[in-house]
Amino acid sequence: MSFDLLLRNISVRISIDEVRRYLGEYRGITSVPERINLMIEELVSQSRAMINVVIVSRSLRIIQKEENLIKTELIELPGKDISRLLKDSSDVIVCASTIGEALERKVEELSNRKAILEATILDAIGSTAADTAMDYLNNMLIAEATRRRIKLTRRYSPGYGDFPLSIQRELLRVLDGESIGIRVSPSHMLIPRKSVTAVIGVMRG
Amino acid sequence: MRLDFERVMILDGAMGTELYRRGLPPTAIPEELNLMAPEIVKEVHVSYVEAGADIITTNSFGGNRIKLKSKGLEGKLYEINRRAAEIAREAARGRALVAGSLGPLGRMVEPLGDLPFEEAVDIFKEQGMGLLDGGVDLFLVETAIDIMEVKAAILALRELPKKKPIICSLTFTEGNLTVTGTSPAIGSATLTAWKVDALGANCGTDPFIYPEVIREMASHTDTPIIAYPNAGPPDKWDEVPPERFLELGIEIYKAGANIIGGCCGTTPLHISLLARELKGKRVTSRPPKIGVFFTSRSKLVTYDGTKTLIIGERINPTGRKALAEELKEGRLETLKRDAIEQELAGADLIDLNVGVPEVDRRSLMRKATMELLKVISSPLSFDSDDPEVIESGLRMYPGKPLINSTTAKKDSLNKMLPLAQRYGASIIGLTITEKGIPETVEERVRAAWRIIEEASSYGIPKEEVIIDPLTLPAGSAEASITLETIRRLSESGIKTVLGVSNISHGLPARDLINASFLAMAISAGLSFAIINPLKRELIDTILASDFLAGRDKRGQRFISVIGPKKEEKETKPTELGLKELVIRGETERAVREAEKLVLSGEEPLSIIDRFIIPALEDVGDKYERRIFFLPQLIASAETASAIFEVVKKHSPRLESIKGRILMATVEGDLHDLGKKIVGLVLESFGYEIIDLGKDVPAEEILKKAKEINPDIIGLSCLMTTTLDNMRKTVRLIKENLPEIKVMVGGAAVNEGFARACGADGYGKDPFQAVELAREWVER
Repeated sequence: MSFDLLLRNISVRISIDEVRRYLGEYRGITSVPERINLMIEELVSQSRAMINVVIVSRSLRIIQKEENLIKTELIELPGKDISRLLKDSSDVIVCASTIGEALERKVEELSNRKAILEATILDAIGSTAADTAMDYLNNMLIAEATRRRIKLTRRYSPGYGDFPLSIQRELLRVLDGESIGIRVSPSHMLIPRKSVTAVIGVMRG
Repeated sequence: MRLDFERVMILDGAMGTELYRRGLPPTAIPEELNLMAPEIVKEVHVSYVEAGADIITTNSFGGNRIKLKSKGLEGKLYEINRRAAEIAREAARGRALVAGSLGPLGRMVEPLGDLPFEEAVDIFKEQGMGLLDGGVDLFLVETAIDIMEVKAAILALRELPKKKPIICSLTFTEGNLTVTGTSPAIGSATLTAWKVDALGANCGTDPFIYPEVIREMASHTDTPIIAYPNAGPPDKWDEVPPERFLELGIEIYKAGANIIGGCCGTTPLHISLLARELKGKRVTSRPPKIGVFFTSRSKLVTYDGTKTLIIGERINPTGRKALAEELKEGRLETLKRDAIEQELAGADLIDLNVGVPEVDRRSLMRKATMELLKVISSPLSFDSDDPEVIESGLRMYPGKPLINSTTAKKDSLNKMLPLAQRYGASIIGLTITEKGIPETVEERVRAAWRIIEEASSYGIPKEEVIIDPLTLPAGSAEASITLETIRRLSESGIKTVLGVSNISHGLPARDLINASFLAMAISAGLSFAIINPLKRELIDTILASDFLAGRDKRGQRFISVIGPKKEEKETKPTELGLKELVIRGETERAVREAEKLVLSGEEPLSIIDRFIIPALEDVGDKYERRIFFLPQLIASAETASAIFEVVKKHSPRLESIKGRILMATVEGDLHDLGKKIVGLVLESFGYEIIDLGKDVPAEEILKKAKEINPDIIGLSCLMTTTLDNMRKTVRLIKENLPEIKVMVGGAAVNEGFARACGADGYGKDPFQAVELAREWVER
């Protein structure tokens, strides 16, 4: 069974549409001026050199299910929502993605010299890239599941519903977050910030 | 029995799902049964042979070291694979061919993953050896999601002691791409270049994309095609019953497939219907394939005579001191940037030359190739005169590249042509012979034919050879010899390429000479131009020349890039008022306009009330109604702030116009940008902003507040986990400086929290923050 993946340096395709959506565009309502469009395109192409994707996943066997807690072979996942999500699952895949620190250092540099517009767009590009990386991982997992004739639940991240942010530290511990360059701040923030953690249930037979 | 590509052959259906149906527990791996219960595996094979399959697939999909190791079975690897082949042979009894199945390794190959390429080759070799000894008739590399992994498998299987046909099949999912971004056209062109015996598609999320996928593959190859979809999407395995599956099979047949079968969820019944209807039918003929393809993992470049292709020449340390120095130190920053810039500027292929002295150029080529795979999608042109350097790039390149170059000299041809043949690359041939560069057109044409004939003796068709008749400085040699050679070769259907810029060596006005020579060469029939694509005039020259030479029919590409004809009478740009310029966020023009207004006697402060505030209110309204999105809001605020500078310059005593606001992101929170946007908008309305940054302790905020005595303190936090610090900070301020208004905001904050923690107000977005500030300060 190989839901255990570690991929580096994937070139994720950053969708301009998705970046614009991040920046608050409503399709059909917002009229985006050409100048801003060009700026987004330019920054997307520049961003490629600042994005260094790492994605990682690991599947854990579920050993006990309670109403408010899922116990796996290595960690416990608290909350009603996660228990509901995993009620038909035999395993849970823990995963994380990051795009590295280069892009957010550039955002910081831009915002410090008051280039707020560029900083904001680049920041949205970073968020889009981190999500896209996670989608990419999700697709690979679905492909693997497809081959095995099993189903996966939807992806669920800390911070959704009652699934606490504090669990990120545990998730990264089982994924060896340090080795892929993701840390957690004392206030449970991921560093680099353009990182995502999630869990996905594996439903068997 | 043997492979017959004139007529449709039927492949078997699913093995895994049939084994599970016979009681294999979902946690077990099917390959184990080859040793423990071979009769069950054989029973499945026999059922497919009886259903009419011409080819059956061994039960060895996951029989590689990585996957078996996860079950502690790696010690039995050879036996599992050999038995897989033997069981299938026993079941076939000469009525069907046995295909040795090799599935994905379960770990991604570099650069997408961390598995070294040569290790992947070894792992496939090990599995292939067991299958070969068990007696397979052919190999089936299937369900592949990474073309790089397929390449490792092909190299491995070709290095086995006995050659067997190799068939490779990719898995396409959403958007008709593999999950690593390869389209059917790219996969087809690439696998054709790698000379597999058949190529195609299997598995995947949606079986109904197959006719389209196979059609796309068929129009990019003359190689036979295999197709075997699932019997439904992943969550509905049984959705496509045998009758419906047959309809799908007929569509796939019409699209041009030679071998048709089923993947996950298909049963002997599915296969027997396919066999009854399609087996032995004459294969659908395909449209003629036009052009020569170059590929990377995710990009297809076609030369079909409708466009002069551009090869970006920048990555070459000759004459570029800084690049040479970096490469010597093994650093690749400039190299990567050059590649990205050239791709953006319109290069179709990127030339890669790492020829610096005193370094291991083979490992440098390998490293540079790996790095470029991460940042660009254009196919590469491997540039060196050392065949070993070329090979180190070719070997792990996941596409069909170009080799730059061989000469017409015997020893060069003998070294370079085998590489082009083995790795499936096109090759540039320089018309240089043992005697040097020929001086006449006839001799250069003869040298070209020598290269083409020698290539064809290696099995490289003339379409894959591109002749460079050499550019010599116009100051020392006749450019017309080069141009005439191009004309003669292109009349015989031979493709040509030139490194253009050498023509102007030692001359003034080099850009002019280069562009003129390029236009003339295109007129003579040039197919590829090696240029610096960052020179806009060269790109434009190619656009215009392609149009005039009749390659770009009706100038469609020219018009789409250059733009339609403008009306001769240029209308004067309409004068936009200052308000409109602020709304549009056009800072430079707005500043000029504001200066003009001041000079014409407008009271500086009234500019704010008459133009800026109404403009920003309009922007706020549009933002609220989502007609504007965040970048427009920021652009307007930036413009307004720039105008404030103009106003301040002309009103020297003015400090803060409306009021002073101290801002900070609370301790523990590192989010800065959202707060900065709010600060910018407040500033654009005339407030003075003192920003303490992020992760600021409550005590520090209090200390600063006592020092500067602001009208308002604005606090931000984005994380629910830092709300406590927000609460603490508000309390500390209110205890010590009760008269200062406190505004809070950020993704984690809401109205209720704001009230509960003792703040005076909550700013949902920048404009609400402005409204609060106006209410408190301007009253």
